[in-house]
Amino acid sequence: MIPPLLLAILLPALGALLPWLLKPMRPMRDLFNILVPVGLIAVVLSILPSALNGETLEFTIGDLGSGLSFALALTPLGMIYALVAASLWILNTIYSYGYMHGLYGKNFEGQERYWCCFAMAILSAMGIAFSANMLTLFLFYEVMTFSTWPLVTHTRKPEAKRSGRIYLGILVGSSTLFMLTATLLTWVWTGTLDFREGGILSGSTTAGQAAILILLFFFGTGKTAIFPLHQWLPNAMVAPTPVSALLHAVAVVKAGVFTVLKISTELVGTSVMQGSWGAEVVAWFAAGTILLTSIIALTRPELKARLAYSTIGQLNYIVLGAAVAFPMAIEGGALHIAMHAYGKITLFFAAGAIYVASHKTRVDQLDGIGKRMPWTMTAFMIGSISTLGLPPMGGTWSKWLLCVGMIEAHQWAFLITLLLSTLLGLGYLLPIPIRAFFAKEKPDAGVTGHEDHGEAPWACRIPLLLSSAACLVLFFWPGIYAQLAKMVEGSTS
Amino acid sequence: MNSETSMLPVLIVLIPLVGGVLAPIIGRGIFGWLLALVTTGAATFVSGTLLLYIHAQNTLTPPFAISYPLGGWPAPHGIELKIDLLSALLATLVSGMGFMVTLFSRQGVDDEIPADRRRFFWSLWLLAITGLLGILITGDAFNVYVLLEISSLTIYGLIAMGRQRNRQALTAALNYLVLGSVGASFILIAIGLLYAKTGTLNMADIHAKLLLAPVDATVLTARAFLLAGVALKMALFPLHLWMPAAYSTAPSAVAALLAATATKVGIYMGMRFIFSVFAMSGGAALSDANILIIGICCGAAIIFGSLSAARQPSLSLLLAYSSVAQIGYIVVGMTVGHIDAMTGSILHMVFHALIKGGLFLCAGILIYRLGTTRLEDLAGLGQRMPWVSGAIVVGGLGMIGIPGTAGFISKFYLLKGLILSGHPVLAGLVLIGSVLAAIYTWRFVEVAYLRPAGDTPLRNGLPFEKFLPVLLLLGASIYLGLQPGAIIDVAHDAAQQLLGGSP
Repeated sequence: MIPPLLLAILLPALGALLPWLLKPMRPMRDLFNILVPVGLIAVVLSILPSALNGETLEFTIGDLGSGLSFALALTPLGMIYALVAASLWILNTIYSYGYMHGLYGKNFEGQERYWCCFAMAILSAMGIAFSANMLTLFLFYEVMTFSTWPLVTHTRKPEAKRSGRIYLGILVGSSTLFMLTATLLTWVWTGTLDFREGGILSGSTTAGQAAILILLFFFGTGKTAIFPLHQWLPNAMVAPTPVSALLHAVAVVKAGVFTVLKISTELVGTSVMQGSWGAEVVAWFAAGTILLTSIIALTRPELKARLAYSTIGQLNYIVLGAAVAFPMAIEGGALHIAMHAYGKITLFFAAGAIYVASHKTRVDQLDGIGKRMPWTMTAFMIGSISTLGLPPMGGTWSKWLLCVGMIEAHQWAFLITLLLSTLLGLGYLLPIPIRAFFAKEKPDAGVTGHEDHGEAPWACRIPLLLSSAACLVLFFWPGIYAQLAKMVEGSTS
Repeated sequence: MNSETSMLPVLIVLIPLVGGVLAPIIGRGIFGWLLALVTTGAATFVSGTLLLYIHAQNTLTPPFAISYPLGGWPAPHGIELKIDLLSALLATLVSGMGFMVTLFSRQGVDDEIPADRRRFFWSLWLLAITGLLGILITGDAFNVYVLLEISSLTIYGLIAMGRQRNRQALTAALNYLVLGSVGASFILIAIGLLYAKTGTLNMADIHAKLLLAPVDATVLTARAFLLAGVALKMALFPLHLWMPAAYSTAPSAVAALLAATATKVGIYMGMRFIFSVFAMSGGAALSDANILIIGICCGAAIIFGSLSAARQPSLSLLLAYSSVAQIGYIVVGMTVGHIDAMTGSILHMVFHALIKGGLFLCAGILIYRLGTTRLEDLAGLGQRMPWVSGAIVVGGLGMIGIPGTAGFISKFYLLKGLILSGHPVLAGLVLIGSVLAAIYTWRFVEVAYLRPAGDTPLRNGLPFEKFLPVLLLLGASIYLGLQPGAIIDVAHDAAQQLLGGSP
């Protein structure tokens, strides 16, 4: 019997191999493209009861001696991330069929590579979620960077190549120069890299060393897109929309914020975080990033670019929570991983659906489009409200907790930052669905050749309806996610 | 040591030596290749057996080393073969890589070497391996010089045989001949000075006598000559000038063998002399000034090598300059004399041999099928040769030191040692080197995967026996990246033996 944690990594590995093995048998491959993610959900759900009971399953992949190993372990925080990634993989796969087939035809170029890299990204997400120590996390963090690069550069156009360089340059550069250094220093100073409740730094490092580690870790995690490491994210928008959705809602950026939450709670430890000037610096950077990107988002006419900057802001909510490190802020951050994922993936799905149906990419072209695409724009509305953290959508709870956390920590400036960015969000996000439904369609708004369009294909619509439904359901029944986030909070105190 | 294993040490050199002598006589047609395959395979088996035996004994009664008096004349008067963990590990590596590259190169040699010279090629090939293996296992300083000349002279010849494909191979061989001879004579001068000082040529004996005598100008001069000579042999910046041309113009099999083994043996000589001969009492092997100078050379090697690699027009040159940088890593680890850094250094020798050997074999496949490794001719390689270019990417990831590949493990130990021994600047350079490695690796990736395929016709298919060694070597890089426990153990014990001061 294969341990379930290992199975959660092996299944996506199978998903990465099958597109090549089944190359001559397209129908079989398509079947398995759906079956493998379903299987992964089953595996993750089978681990869920253990996580809720507070059990820690463990599995060692490889032993390196000197107390180092590549090992997996189950924690509530990891469960949140795994659940999000697994549940959205299947939606994203269905959506990919609608989008890629709709735009590039049934036999689009590089499809094996596309499916393979997609599965590899999920594999690394599972690895990150279940990593038992910093070394394992670093391993899968880098696997994710390299496996998503072919997706970012999928179109192979010059701008894709340029974005690919920025993507790799920032992510590999920051992780190698800072995260690896921090990992090493942690090992040298504390003698271990294992994640433990309450962290491993307290007692073995001085305040100055802790601050240096915090700075290195937080600015080594380029995937959180904290200023000044945020440039890769808007640039990665050249990728096909399902990839953007995967990158920006599910796997990559969530890997970043998951990493900093993990470091804050189980490596540095919240008690060390709370008193450290290093964390203070990080928090100010995060707050600055939130405001800056919210303002930039207001000025972007491209829908996907606007969503990208919104994502950067939302991610830094979590970074802020992790840096402030008061219990409620941590709980809010953990919950925000899930809530933001469902909201933001809905928005990306909608943006892609609009593009498939109408080839429109700019916000000012979308006036009145709600009459042509009622399903999509309704979902967009729901996604926007959830992303902004307003009732009656799931995003409310995480934002609420984050705000409470700031009050708890007496960080009034950060509380104001959160509220202000919500206001700015109202400005850049909500007008889009409102104008889509209530403004008149401009006579010359259509893209030549696509003036008279209807809804996107069903393969695009079903996933976005499901994810928007999830936003709604999570408001009334935050259930498992809330429970897991509560457990994360409980483990810090 | 029991009677079955007692002959093994001498067999390590005897087998390839006999093979090398027989090759011109019986090595016509396919027999040369078969002979080379059998002899390198047997040498691998013998040295592997010895490695396991020594490692097992060393865990029981450390430090453990095998001493074998040649011809029954006991040391220090007779020639002594002395095999400790480091010798055995590297002998396994060298003979194993020799076997892999031999397996790889049947068609390659048919392709690049004229028929009437092939048996001489195999003869030189086996004698070069003999020389390299001999340096690893001898305990006699003059013997080191003799074996060094054997391997060097044969290697000059092997490089020159690349002239069929590229006339510049002759210039490269001549360059290497001149510089290599200068290096070898420096080493000879050093050995002569040591002999004048101590009156003995046995390394352990020299060491024992040096410990008793005060350090004077003769010893310091000997050390300076030795370091300079060895630096030339291992192509440490700025004495690397012979290397890129030699690697890129030699027959592809020779390039792979050289990259994987020859420079490693050069580094071994450095380690052996510094730590087993010159080490002062108390363990300090190098003065702070030595460490500073070598550290600067290594730092420059890492930065300059990586930056140059990113600007080269062909994959072979790119790989060669990357070797300049990687040698910087290895030497920097051994210089600081810290156990973790030394472990990292030894690991990196092994892993870099596997990875770079695999990559040069890939370059060999490109030469065999495309006739070139110029990057502009490799456009769209990802579609044209998915397996080979995939392998190059995996090897590249290993050179960057991505976790999950062997390159990460060695760098991790190296960095730990550098930090613990108080050299954060060197650690920083190693990290920057990793990022630069990502840049030159990605040059290939962009060419191979983001450019439309070129139309240079493929001359040959992909023979399985050519791809099998690549698969094994790069597969080993991944496997050892995830399950490195055993090899870390060996490297750590070897480092301990070396730093312990006894040869």
